[in-house]
Amino acid sequence: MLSEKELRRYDRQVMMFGKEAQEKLKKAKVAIVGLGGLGSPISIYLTAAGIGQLFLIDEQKPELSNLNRQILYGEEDLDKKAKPVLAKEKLRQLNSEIKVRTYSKRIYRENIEDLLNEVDAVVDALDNFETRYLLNEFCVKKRKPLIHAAVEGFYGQITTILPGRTPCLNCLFPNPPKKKKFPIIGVTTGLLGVLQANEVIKLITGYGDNLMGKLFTYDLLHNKAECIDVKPNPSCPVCSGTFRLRRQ
Amino acid sequence: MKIKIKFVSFLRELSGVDKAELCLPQDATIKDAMEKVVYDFPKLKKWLPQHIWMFINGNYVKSQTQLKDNDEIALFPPVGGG
Ligand SMILES: [Zn+2]
Repeated sequence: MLSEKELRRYDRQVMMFGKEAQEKLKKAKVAIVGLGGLGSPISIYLTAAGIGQLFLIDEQKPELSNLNRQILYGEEDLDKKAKPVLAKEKLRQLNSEIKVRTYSKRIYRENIEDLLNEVDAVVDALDNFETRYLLNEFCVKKRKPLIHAAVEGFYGQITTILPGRTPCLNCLFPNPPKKKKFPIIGVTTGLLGVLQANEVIKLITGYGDNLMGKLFTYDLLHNKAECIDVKPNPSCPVCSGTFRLRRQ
Repeated sequence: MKIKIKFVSFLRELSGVDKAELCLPQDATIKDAMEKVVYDFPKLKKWLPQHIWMFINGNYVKSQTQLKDNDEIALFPPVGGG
């Protein structure tokens, strides 16, 4: 049940999707994997929207070169605590009603189940495809929704993966981009991170349409959006089994 | 056969166009199409075909994939940052 205070707090969004949807948000457990450029706006907007429990996962401490985009952190935070710990302090100031769980460690095959087993949805805010593939495999295995985004420069892409219904990350991008130091600006991670938070909110409340089976890209330099329908790869080594099961 | 190419983001900047049309022999593959694209738009040489994500009708495609008349190949820049 929502308290009187919560109803006041979320009044303007309850006007749109109703109390029941707000309660769904309150009950939801959402993991944000990576608390950098994408993870900053995702965690801020999900906190403001009233997601009941956030699981924040990142092993790094903020560095000066992060501050052009990682808006959770300031100059006083540099090289002190791990990002999830700092994020929790900031997010609690924004909304003390929500629970924040912090994991200041990198995700590996060995610990992924412990970290993510109980969450309802996973947000991919990582900066490398190696760990993204691991996250994807786990979400396919456990049938958890995965909201993917990736960025470079003034450009970004986003899609919502629902195992058994949409293509998985491996269907879409079987070849990872080259590993390198990538150029990036805060407005790009800001926009794509907000879109990811938006996907989480719609997925949990059931309000509106999702980017399931759609690859949406935005070029901020020229204000050009593309949205293509994407299909599962029938021979995908990661997810083809989920479709075979569904057909039986 | 006729093949359409769609360029996204910086690939559009390098090619200077949103879309292009190619004429290719009947048994052409993606690889042949990409060679023709590089010939027409030399600035893309550094990227095609190995450093690009290619989709036809929503399906990720590889270099060996056989083309059909009127296929549209969408070329996306591979991105991995966060
Ligand atoms: Zn797949």
